[in-house]
Amino acid sequence: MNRFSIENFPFLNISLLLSRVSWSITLRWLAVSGYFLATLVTKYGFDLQLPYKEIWLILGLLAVINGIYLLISKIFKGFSFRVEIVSLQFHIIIDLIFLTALIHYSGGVENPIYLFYAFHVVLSSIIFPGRAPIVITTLVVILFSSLIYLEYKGILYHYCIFSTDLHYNQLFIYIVLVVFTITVYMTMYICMSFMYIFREVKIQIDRQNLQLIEADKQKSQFYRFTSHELKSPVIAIKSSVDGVIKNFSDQLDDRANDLLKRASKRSDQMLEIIRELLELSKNRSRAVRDREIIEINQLIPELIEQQEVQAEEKTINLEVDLSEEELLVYGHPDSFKEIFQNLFSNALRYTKENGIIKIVTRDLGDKIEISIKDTGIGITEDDIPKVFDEFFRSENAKKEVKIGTGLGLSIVKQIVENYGGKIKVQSTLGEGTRFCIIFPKQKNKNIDIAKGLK
Amino acid sequence: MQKKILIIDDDIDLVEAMRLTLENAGFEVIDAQDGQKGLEKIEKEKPDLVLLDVMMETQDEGFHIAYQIRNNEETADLPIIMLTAVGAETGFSFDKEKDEDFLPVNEFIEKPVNPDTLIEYVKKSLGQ
Repeated sequence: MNRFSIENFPFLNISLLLSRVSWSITLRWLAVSGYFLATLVTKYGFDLQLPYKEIWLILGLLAVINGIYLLISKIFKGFSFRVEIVSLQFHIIIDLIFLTALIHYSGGVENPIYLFYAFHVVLSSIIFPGRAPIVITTLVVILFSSLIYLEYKGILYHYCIFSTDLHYNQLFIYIVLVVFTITVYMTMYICMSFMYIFREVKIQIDRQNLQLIEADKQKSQFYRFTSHELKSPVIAIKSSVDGVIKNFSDQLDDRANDLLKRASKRSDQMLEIIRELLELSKNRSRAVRDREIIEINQLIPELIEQQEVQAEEKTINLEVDLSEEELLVYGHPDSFKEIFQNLFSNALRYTKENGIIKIVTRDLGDKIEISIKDTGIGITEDDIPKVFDEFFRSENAKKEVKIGTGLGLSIVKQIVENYGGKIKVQSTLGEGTRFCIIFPKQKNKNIDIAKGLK
Repeated sequence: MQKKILIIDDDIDLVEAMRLTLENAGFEVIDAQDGQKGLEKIEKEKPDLVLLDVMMETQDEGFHIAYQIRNNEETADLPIIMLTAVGAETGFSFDKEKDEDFLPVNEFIEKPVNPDTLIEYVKKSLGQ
């Protein structure tokens, strides 16, 4: 398997990696300028004698290289993940060489800035799987010990900070090197072993997630296929029965006519179930692209108007209390129509004559609340958690109204959740039910901005 | 004169149900089980109106047949009523006003078709 293939980097994708690269460029600016300021302090504040020209030259060089990194990342876009990962490794190695040179000119073993090596060890152990962190950590140890050895042997000049000749002190050098080596390898080991666990878990979660998405897609396809297969025979049955009723009803006695009408009605019921099953699978796959900005307070009166006749027939009082604020949501009008019609027709169906249905919209700051409250038969406490289950119909609902698909509320819940909303139900048996939907509020009427936010 | 109606639909039971209603309403009814046979019957029998199912062999066979009827000079003015369960099937719903350019048919009816509705639409498309 390719070490640099993206599967081995479950926490990174190309855009995240690019943002990390630009983050590391920023860090490098900070490091260069921080180091420069520190040399100013030691030079003028502590009167420390160091080869500042060389140090500044190195810093300047690093700044130039960092500028080149920046230019490359700005000018050449669309590098592959692999190229970016390799270049990040390259950056780290260059940084290590520069750091070693800086340590050399800043006092070698006497200066504890060699601890800065740890940053690179941690960074590489977190980012790279496999052997790369070991390689980099080993490089760190080799660079640092070679520097100390060369200064000890006098092959490289040693710049003193404390004038104690510590760099000639073998015991001191051994202690520093051993402690340093243990520290960087342990740091690497700890980071790597945790990252190994995280990576494995993340890979597993990603895989399961894909399987879930696939399973859900198959379920939708199954719904669609089944619906078609179910629909054709029912359509033929219904058409035949209606054809007989239409053309031969005068030749049949009343009981035969009555039975045929019942058969026709039951096939309507079956078609309704199939239609709702389809609606369920359609909502699952409804595309985001058809969304638009909707003003809830404008839409709701239109939807109420469509249902007013039915309410009047049953002499049910409609109370409407709409928020004075503008309530914008980003979605498909049909979805909201579906939600409202389902909830409203439920309320209507289970509310006795002279009852009240109250529709309220409220502004909750960054959310919108729409609620429909009825004075209907209510739901038993045991049934409340089940009302959104597919095909569920409560016993008291069945007693009241025989025919129903048990899919309406599942559809509602699914649409609401598709839009990042929530639906809640409160109910007292015999007193009434209140469905309450909460949607994220859209702040801006400009559709492009709304899309950008998504 | 008795008007002749061609039903193109692969569901033979549905064809018979519609035939019953249409014949009782005084129309002559012929039928074809697929699009190709339908086109042949149009040429041979010269019906006054076509009832066309959207989905037969393929998901959109009916659309292709409708285009072929419209693109043939001889049959360009033949009224077509499209029978569809497709609104539910494929997720697109039709709006006659909006889709007129897109779909060259006179009417859409969603299955199952109520007998009275069927007669009403047929008469309307025949200009009766």
